Amino acid sequence: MAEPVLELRNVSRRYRVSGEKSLFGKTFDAVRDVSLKVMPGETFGIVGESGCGKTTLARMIMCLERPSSGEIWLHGRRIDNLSESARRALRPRFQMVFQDSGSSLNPRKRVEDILREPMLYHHVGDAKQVDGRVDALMDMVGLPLEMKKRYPHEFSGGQRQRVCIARALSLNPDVLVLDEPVSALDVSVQAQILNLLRDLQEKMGLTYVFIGHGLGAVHYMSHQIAVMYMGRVVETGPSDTLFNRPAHPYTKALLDAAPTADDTLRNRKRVELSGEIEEADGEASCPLLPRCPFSRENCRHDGLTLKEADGRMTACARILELDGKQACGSTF
Amino acid sequence: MRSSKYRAVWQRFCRHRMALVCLIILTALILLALLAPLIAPYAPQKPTGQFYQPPSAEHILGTDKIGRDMFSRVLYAMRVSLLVGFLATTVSTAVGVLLGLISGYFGGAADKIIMSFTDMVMSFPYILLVLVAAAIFQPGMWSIILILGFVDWPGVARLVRGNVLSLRETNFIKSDITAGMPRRYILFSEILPNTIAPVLVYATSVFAISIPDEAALSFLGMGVQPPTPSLGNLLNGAESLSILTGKPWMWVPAGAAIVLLVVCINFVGDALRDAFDPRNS
Repeated sequence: MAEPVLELRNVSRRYRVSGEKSLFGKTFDAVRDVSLKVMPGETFGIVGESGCGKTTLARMIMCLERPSSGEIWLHGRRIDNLSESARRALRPRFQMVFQDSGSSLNPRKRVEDILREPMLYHHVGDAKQVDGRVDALMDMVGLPLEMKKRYPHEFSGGQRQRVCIARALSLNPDVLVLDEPVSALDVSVQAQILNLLRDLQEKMGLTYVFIGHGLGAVHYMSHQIAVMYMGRVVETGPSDTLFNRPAHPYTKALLDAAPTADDTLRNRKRVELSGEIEEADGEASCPLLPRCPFSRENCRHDGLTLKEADGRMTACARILELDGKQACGSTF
Repeated sequence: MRSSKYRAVWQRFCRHRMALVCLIILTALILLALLAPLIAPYAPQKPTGQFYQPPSAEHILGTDKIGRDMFSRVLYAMRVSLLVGFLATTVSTAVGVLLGLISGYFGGAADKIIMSFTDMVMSFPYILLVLVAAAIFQPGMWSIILILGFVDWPGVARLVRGNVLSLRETNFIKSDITAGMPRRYILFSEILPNTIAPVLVYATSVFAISIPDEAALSFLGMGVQPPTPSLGNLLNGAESLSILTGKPWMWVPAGAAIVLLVVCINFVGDALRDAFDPRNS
């Protein structure tokens, strides 16, 4: 079996909640004990609702933030504990595309300068070669060459996202972290960008970490998927398995909550969660316990470990009882 | 495309009629000051032998107590006052921008120290600080430039710091970090150009404040030293009641010049602020 390109081992991130003046302070765990392996050339999708820790996870992978505990390995090398100067040489190998393309580009620079400057700094080539590469990148992401003289505000959202992808690719990375790259775009533009990303992956053998809350987009893009809830991975496995036969009640609820245009599915039996996100008490308690329609007493003691079942890993104490018994009309 | 951006800024500026008038007056005053050696009919320091002359064809703004031509002196005084104001603004803006950048970008201990120092300087009664500093150092044009430069920087530093803090969270700075770009690039090529416009606007108000500050100090004898004329020490001649009531040509022109300069600079600054804000289009 091939070595993973990117591996997260028991990564957690704890924030101190400001404004609390007590001796120990209040803390908030944005990401808890997440372990993932991303294989070369694959897309690893991460889904979950807003605030589930997806973006914090992305920021830790990009070393914009340090994990409170756990390790991040890239190409068999631990990167989370390096100093920024030691990491600088590795930086070009993993790049990121952000959700909000509007603030992703310096408003005062022409697109060609935005693309050129990092390449010059990292000595991708001499000035002439870099200029040639700017043109090649514009072409690669499907932007007309003459647009390189323009400023970011003269582009549409989709075009700006193309520029961001070109910039991310300029340093020849092999891992690209895509943090909701299409969430801010029109649906028609979303499809164009997703197809562009897939083409590029095929051509260049890129490895993606694709973060999203749009289930369709994540399913379309990903080989493997992890579903996150309150900072934890509650279920992970091959994309099709998870979408066709979800096992964890949260995955089911997530899929069932997606609106559908298919009339015959409107009145299907759905898994619905009750209430709002709230913290479950108890060290080993399932995070979904207060909201889950299937919760039992043993969820309090065995809610965290990922158990293998049917080719996927699921953190549900009742997985073996529930598996297959729940009707799920999801069509993804 | 770039020029269209500047044209839009100019169009928004022109919407302020008052600012446009002020810009013309200001340009005229600055030209008068710059061209003083060509325009002034007499040397500003040279007595002509006629004391306390009211305005006449020979001396259009009269003469002072030792017979120097007031019109020539006002022209040269504007030169000095504008130079002091401009250099003091340059010094304080440079110091403020540098400290603001460091404070905002690096945060932590550097931020705490710089911001405490900023609060300290701001909490001193302004004119008192200037007076004490002027008393300690040798009074003169260069020391007043440095003194004014020193007391005016905290506002700039705070403005820049706030800007840097918000820019630091933008995705384009994050992309620079993930691309492994060096700090000097992020600070001077990415952050600084995006803070220029608000700093420029703020600098006009600092400029407008420095001119009466210089005048106040010189009026009190702590600023530009006679016989070099400045708008402040020309007013100094109006300390006596008989001059104040009986010889208005001694102080009205200098006072009017201060008022005109300050009002015009402020209006132009206000219009600039609106012009740089694209939301006003």
